[in-house]
Amino acid sequence: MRLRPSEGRILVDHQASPGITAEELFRVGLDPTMAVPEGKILEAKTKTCAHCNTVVILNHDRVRPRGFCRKCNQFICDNPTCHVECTPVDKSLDHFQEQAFRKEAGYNLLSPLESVSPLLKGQAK
Amino acid sequence: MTKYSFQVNTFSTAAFADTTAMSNNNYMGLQGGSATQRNDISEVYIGGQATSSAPQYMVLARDSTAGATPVAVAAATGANGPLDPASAAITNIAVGYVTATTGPSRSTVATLARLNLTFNAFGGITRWTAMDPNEFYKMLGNAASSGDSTLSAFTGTTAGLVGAHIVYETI
Repeated sequence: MRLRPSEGRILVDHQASPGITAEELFRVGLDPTMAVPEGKILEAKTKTCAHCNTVVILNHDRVRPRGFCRKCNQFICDNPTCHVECTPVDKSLDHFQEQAFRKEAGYNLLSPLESVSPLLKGQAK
Repeated sequence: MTKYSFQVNTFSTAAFADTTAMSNNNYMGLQGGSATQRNDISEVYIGGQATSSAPQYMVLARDSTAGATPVAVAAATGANGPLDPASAAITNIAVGYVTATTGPSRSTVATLARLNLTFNAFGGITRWTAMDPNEFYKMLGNAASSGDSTLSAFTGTTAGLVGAHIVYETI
C-alpha cells in the first residue's frame, strides 16, 4: 500500500485467525463494515484530525468530500465540533505547555486561548 | 527527540466499560513524566497470544482518571526504554505502567481522541503506525485526560492473552 507522508496505516491481520465477524462487531455496537473475518487482512490509511487529534480510519469507498480546514490547511474529522472554528491541537498543546512552564517558574501567565482544541477543552487555560 | 518503546510481553485483557477503574495487569498505561512533558505516540502493535478464539475490542484512549501512583513496568513484565541505545537519558521518562494503586479510567467524552484496534487474539495481529508528526496521537503533561492514556479492552471483549508495544516520542 502506497502512503502519502501525511497518512498513517492500520493493519489487522487475520490470515491465521478465526477473525472478527460483522455480527460480533454489531453486538458490541461497532461498525460491522470493519469486520475482518477468518483468513483476511484489513489494511487501511488513517488520518488524524488537526483539531481534536482523533485518528480516523479512512473508508476508501467514500465519495463525499472529507473534512478540511481552510484556515490551518489540514484534514479534520466529521465531528461537528471540529467544523465550528479553527482549533489546531498543536497550537493548543503549545499554549498549555507554555502555560504550565510559566506556572512552575512563577512567571506571568499567558492570556487564555480564545478557541481551544476539543482535546483540551475543560482543562485550565 | 528520543523515541521510546513501552512494551509488555504478555498480559490478559479484561473488558472494561468507560469510566471504570481498570484492574492491575489488564491494561497498558502511559503517563507523562511531568506536568509539562509532551509525548507523541506514533505506533501501536498488538499481537494475539490466546489459545482459542478471543475477540479483542482494544482501544487506545485517553483517561478521565489517571492511574494513581503508577508503578513503572518491571523488567520481568516488559520494558520502557529508548529505541536507540545511544540516546541520552531524560530526567523524567514517561511512565509505562500496568499497575497502579487506583487503576486508570477510560474517558467517555466523545471529543477525545480514541483509536480502535479490534482484532482476534487467537492468531491475529493489529498495528497502527503514523509517519508524519501531524498524524501522531499527542499527549501533554501527566494528568487526566491529555496526560494519561491506556491501551485496554472495551466491553464485549473475551479475555485473552496479548503482547503489545507502544512507540512514542518525548518532545
